[in-house]
Amino acid sequence: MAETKILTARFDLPNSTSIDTYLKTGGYQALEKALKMTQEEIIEEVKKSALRGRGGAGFPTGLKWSFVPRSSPKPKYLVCNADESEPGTCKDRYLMEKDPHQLIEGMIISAYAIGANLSFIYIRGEYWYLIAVLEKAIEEARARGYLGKNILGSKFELDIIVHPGAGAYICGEETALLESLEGKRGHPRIKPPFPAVVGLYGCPTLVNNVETLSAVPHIILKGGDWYRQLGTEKSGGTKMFSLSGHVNRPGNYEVRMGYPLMQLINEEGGGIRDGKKLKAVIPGGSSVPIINAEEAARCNLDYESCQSVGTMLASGGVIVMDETTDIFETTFNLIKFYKHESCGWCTPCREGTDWLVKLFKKIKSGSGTQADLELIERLCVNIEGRSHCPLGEAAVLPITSAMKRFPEDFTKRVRKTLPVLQPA
Amino acid sequence: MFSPQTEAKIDALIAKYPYKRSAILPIIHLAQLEQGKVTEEAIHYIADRLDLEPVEVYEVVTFYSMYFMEEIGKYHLQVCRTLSCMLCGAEEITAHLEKKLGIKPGQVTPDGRFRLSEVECLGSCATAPVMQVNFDYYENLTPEKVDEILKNLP
Amino acid sequence: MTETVKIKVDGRELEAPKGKLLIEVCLENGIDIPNFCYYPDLTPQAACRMCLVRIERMPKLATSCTVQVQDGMVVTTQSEEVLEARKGMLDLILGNHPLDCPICDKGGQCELQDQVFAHGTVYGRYEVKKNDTREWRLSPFIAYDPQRCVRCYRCIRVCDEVMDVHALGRIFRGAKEVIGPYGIDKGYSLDCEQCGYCVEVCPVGALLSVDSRFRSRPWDMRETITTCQHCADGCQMRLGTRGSQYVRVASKDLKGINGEFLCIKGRYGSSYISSEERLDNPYLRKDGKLVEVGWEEAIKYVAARLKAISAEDRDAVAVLGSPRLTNEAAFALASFARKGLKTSNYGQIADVDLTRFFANLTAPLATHAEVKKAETIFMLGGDPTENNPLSAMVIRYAVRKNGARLLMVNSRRTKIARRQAEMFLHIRRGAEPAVLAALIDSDENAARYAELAKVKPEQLRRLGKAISDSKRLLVVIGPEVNGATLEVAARFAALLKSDSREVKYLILPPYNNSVGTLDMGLRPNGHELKSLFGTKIKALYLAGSNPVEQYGNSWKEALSKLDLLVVADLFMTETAQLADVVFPVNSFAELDGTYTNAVGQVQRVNRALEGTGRTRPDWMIINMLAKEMGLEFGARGSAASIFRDIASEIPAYSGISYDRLRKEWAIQTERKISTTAEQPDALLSALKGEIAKIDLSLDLDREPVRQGSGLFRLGTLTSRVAVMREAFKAKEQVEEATGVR
Repeated sequence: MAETKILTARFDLPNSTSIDTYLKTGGYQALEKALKMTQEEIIEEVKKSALRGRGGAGFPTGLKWSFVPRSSPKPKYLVCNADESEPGTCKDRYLMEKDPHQLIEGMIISAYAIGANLSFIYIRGEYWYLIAVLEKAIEEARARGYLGKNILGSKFELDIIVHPGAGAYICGEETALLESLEGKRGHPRIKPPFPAVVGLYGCPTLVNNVETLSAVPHIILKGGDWYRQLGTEKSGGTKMFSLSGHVNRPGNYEVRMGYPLMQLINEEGGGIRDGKKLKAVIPGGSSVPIINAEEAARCNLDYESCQSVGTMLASGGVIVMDETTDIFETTFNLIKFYKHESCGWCTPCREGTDWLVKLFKKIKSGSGTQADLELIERLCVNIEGRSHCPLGEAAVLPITSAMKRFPEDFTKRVRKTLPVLQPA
Repeated sequence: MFSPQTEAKIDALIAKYPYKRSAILPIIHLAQLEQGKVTEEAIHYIADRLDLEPVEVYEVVTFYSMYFMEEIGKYHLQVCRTLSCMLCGAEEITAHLEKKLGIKPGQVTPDGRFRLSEVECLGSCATAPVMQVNFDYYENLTPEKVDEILKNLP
Repeated sequence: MTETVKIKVDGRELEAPKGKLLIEVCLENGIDIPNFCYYPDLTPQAACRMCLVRIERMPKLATSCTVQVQDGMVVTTQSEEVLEARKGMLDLILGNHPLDCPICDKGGQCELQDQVFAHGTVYGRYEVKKNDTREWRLSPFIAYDPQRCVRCYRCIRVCDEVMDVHALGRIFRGAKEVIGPYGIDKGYSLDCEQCGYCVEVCPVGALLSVDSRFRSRPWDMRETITTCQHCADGCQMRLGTRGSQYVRVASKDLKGINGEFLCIKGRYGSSYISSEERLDNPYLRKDGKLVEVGWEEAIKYVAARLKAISAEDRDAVAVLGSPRLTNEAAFALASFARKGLKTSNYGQIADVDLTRFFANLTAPLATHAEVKKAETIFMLGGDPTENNPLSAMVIRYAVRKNGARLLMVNSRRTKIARRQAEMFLHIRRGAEPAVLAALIDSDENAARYAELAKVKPEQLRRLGKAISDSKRLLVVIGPEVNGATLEVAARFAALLKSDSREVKYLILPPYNNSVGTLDMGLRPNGHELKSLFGTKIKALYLAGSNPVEQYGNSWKEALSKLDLLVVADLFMTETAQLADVVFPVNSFAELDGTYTNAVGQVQRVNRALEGTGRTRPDWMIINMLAKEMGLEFGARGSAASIFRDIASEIPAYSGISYDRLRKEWAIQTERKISTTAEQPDALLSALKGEIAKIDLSLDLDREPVRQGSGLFRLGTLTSRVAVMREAFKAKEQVEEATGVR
C-alpha cells in the first residue's frame, strides 16, 4: 500500500493554485452537478460517505449539516475553520496553499446544501501569506461565475470572506471561533445551543474544517459510496496525516482510513531517524493520549482502531518519538502550550494549567517529590470533564496518558516522600 | 491616523462584514503593520470606527498573541517551541539566536532590528524546526541556516 | 402560560416552568447549589464551575447555571462525585488566593469563605509560589486585587448588561487575565458612571470601595436599611455605621424596589453625615456675627421675634420647606404654618409645579417593577441616566429583556437616546408642547408642529403610529415639561386609554421627596413668595433649602430684605450664612420618617445613628418653637405619631402605617385619577400659550450629554462627600484632556 491521493492529487502539478489547472483536472464539475441536486440529496450523499469532521472532533459531517434549520428565516452562514493550530498538525495549510479551488468548490457546495449566502474562511493569523493565495482564487472563481450572484445560472448566491485570526489556539474550537469572528475575545460559548442553530450573529451556522470541506467535491462527483469504500466501514474516505518528529521523511501523507500507523511511519516516513527504536507516538495531534511502541504496532489510522489502543485519531497529527526521548520533557512542552492557550474563562482550565506548569517546573528543577506527582494526578482529575470546553480535557490527556505509559520518566525525576498525613 | 492606503483598506473591511465589529481583527493587524505596534491612538481610533468602547478593543488586543502594544522591532523572529519543533531541535535554534543577538525571548535588540520570541505551534510540524520572520516562514532550520537568513535580511 | 415540567432533584419531585435554569429551580426550593458566576438576570457564564451537578443521561457533570429544566430530568446535587468536583474547584481557586482574610474587608461576608467553610478541607498543598500580583486601582474609589478575584465576571456583566456602560473588560489571557478598564496596566482609571455596582456584586474581596476600606469588619458594623435621599427614585440601601460614624452604603441581598442597584450618589453620597463640617449647635447672630449658642437661647429668640412679627400681620411670616424633608417634617412644617402661625405664605422652593400633574392625572403611576415590564415607552424629555438612575435602569431593562419599544422625544442627545431608543426625535429646546400637540391634533397640522419642533412631519407621524400601535404604554415625563404642558401631559392618557391599551405614567422629579412634600401640603410656591420678601413678608423660616447656592444672587438679595431669617440645616450653607438664627438638624441617618418617591411609593427612613444629641429633627424644632410661642397646631412627639396623622388626614396615605411599611417595604399611595372623557380641542387650547412661547431662533442642541454630568454635580450635600468631589474632579480632568465639555 501507499498514499491514496484524492485531496492531494493536484499538489505536485505546476501552477496547482490556478483555476485553469483546477478546471483542467475536473475542477468545479462537482459544483455543476451539485447545483442540479436538491439540498437533501447533497446532505444524503455526504451522510453516505461516512465523512467525519477532520478538524479533530470527528463528528459525522452529513449529520452536522442536517442540523442546520434550512427553513429558518434568518440568514445562514458557512464558516471554514482554517485556524489550524493543533500541535503536530499542518495539513490544512497545504490544502489551502496547493489547491485553494478544491476548498472553495467544497465551500460553495456546502453553502448551497445549507442555504448560506455568505461564508467565511477563518484562517489563523500566522498563515498570513495564504490570505493572498485564497483571495486570488476567490477572485478567479468569481470571474468565472462560480461565486457571486446567480452562480452558474442557478440563482444561488455566495460570497467568501477570508478572515485572519490573531494568535489563539482556542479559536479552533468552533464557538470560540465564532466569537472571534464576531470581533470579540475567543472564549467558547455555552452549548447548547449549537452553532448549527445559533451560530454567527445568532444565526444558523455550519462550521467545518478545511480538509472536511475539501473532500466534499470528490464525494459529490464520485458519490458517497465510492468515498466511503476508500476507508473502513465506519471511517470513510482518505485522510491527510502530518508526520513529524523523529522520522526520516516527515511530511503530509494522504492515506486511506484504516492505514496501519507503523506503515505510515516506516514506509512513507522512512522509519525512525538515525536507526533508533520507536518509543512513543502521539497519533492525532497533541491533544490525544500518547501511546507506546507496542500499542502503535496495533494501531490503524481510523477512529475505531485508535480508540481501541486508548487514543484518538483527531486531527491526524502524528508525532513520532524515538527511544532517546524523555517523555517528561515532551509532556512539559505540551502543558506549557495549553497553559499559554487557555483562554482563562473557566476555573479548572485557567488555574489548573497554570499549576501544572508550576509543578512540572518544580520537578524539572530537581526539587520535586512523589507528592508532586500525586498532586499532578489530582489536578488532572480536577480538570478532566469539568472544564467549559474541550481545551481542559486536551491539556490533561497528554499528561495522564504519559504518566500511565511511561511512569519511569516521571518517577526517576522525583524524590520519594514519606506518606503525608491526610487531612480529616 | 493612518496612511491613505491603510485607511482605504479599513473602510473596505468595515463595509465587507454584515456587522462591522467583525472587522476588528484584520483592522488591528493593519494598524500594527503600519505603526510597528498597536498604539493607544489606534485603539481609540478603532473603537470610534466600530462604535465600541476603548476597553472593548483593548480586551481583544490583549487576548490574541500576535498583537503587541510594545515595539516589535523591524524583524520579529518567532521560533516555534512546541513539541514537533522541540523534537527536531527548536531549543538549539533559540539558544543560537539568543547568543547571536544577545537577547532573551521577549526582548528587542538595542538597535530595534530584531525581536526574539518563542511562539506556540506555527503549523509547520513536518518541516521542523521552524521560525517565522514577521509573516515569512523559514523551515527545516539549522543554526547555519539561521545565520544565512539573518545575513540576507535587508 | 409556560408549560410546567416535573423534575427530580436528590429524590425530591419538583415542579418548575419549562426552560427555567436548573440552579434557579434548586435555589428557590431550598436546595443549595454553590456558585460564583451565576447571578440573577445576568447572562449565564458557566465559568466558575462550582455549580456542577450530575444529570442523568448526560455524559459529564453539568453546570446547573446553564441547563434549562426539561420534563423528567433527574438531578443529583449531593453525591460524592459532585462534592468532590466542588472541592476540586475550591482547591483551584484557593491555589492562588492570598488567604489574607484577616485584613480583607469582605471577610465575614465573603462567598468564597462561605463555600470553603461549607465544604471543609480542600487539598491544596502546592508548595510552589503563588502568582503574586499587585493591587490595581480601577478608579480613585475602587481597588482591585487580582489574586482574590475568582473570575466570575459578575462585575463586567452588571457594567455591560445592567448599566450599559461597558467600562470593564477582561484584560490579557488565561492565568494572566484580570478585570479592568481600558489601559489598566498603564494606570488609567475607569471612565464610567461610578455606580459601584461592580463592587457590590463581587462575591469576594477582589473589588472593594477604597472609601470604606479598613474602616470596619462586616460583623463589627451595624447595617440599617433605609431610603436614599438623593433622587426621587427612592432606592433602598443598607447604611453601615460603626459607633457614631458612617462606614459605607451597600445594597447586597436587598429586596427593595431597586434590588441591588444603586448609583454613585446612593452608594457613596451619604458620607456627609459624618462630615466634620456638620453643625452641632444652634447659631445666633450677635453684633453681626453668627455665634454658637444653646438651644434654649436660640428658640427663645426666634419665638419672640416670630411672635412680634406675626402679631402685626400673620402673613408676614413665611415658612418654606424643601423637597428633601421627610414627610413627617414637611407635614409638621405645613401644620405649624397653617394651624399654628395661621399664615397663608408657606410652601417649598421647587422648579416644577407637580401639583398641575397630580391634579390632572388620568392614568396611574407605574412602579419601577411595572416599568420593567413595559411594552412601549414614550419618553417626553428627561435624562434619567443622569438624574433618576434607577428609572433609567428599569427602562434599559425593559428594552434589553423584553424588547420594549422606546420612543424618545428630547431636546438633548441623552445616553438613552443614543443607545436604547428605537425612535429618537431630537427636538428644539422647549418644543415639547408642539410634539404633544402634534400627537393630539389632526394630521393636517403636522407640518406646523414639525417646524416648531425642528423635526420632520414624517417623524411625528411615525411616533403617533407607534403610540397608537402600543398595547401597554408607559408615558415618561421629564422635568423640562412644565406648566400647562405638564397639565396636558397628565391629561393625555385619557385620549389613549382603551380596552386594548393600558397606559401608565412615570415622572422624573428632581428630589427625593418632591412628591411627598407636595402631598404634605408644601406647595411649590417658593419663587413666588420670594418676590414678597421685604414688602409683604418680613420673616422666613427656611428648612433644608439652600437657594443661594442653587439659584444665586437673586435669592441672596431677596433674603437680605427680610427682618428675620431662620435656617434649619445640616451645614453652614451659603444661605445659612445670611441667617439670623441657624438650627442644626438631624441628617436622614439620624431620624425616623418616610419619603414618597416619584412613583408615589412610601418608604421608611430608619434611624441608623444616634447623632450627637445636640442636633434635632426638623419636626422637633417646630414643636419647640410652637411651644415657646404658645401655639397649638397638633404637635406630636414622634415621627410615628406624626405619620399616623398623615395617614388619617391625607387620603392617598390612608391605611399606610410604619407597621405595614416594615413588612411591605414600599407601599404605593393611591392617586385620584380623573376619568372624564377629554376632548382633544380642550387639550389643544390649553397648549396654545405654551406653543406660542417656543423660541424659533433656537437651533438643535447638538452637544451629547456627557457621562456623569448630572450624577457628579456637586450640591450642598454632595460637595461634602469625598468620593463625589473626586468623581467631579476626575470628570473635569477627562473633559479637559479630551476637550469635550
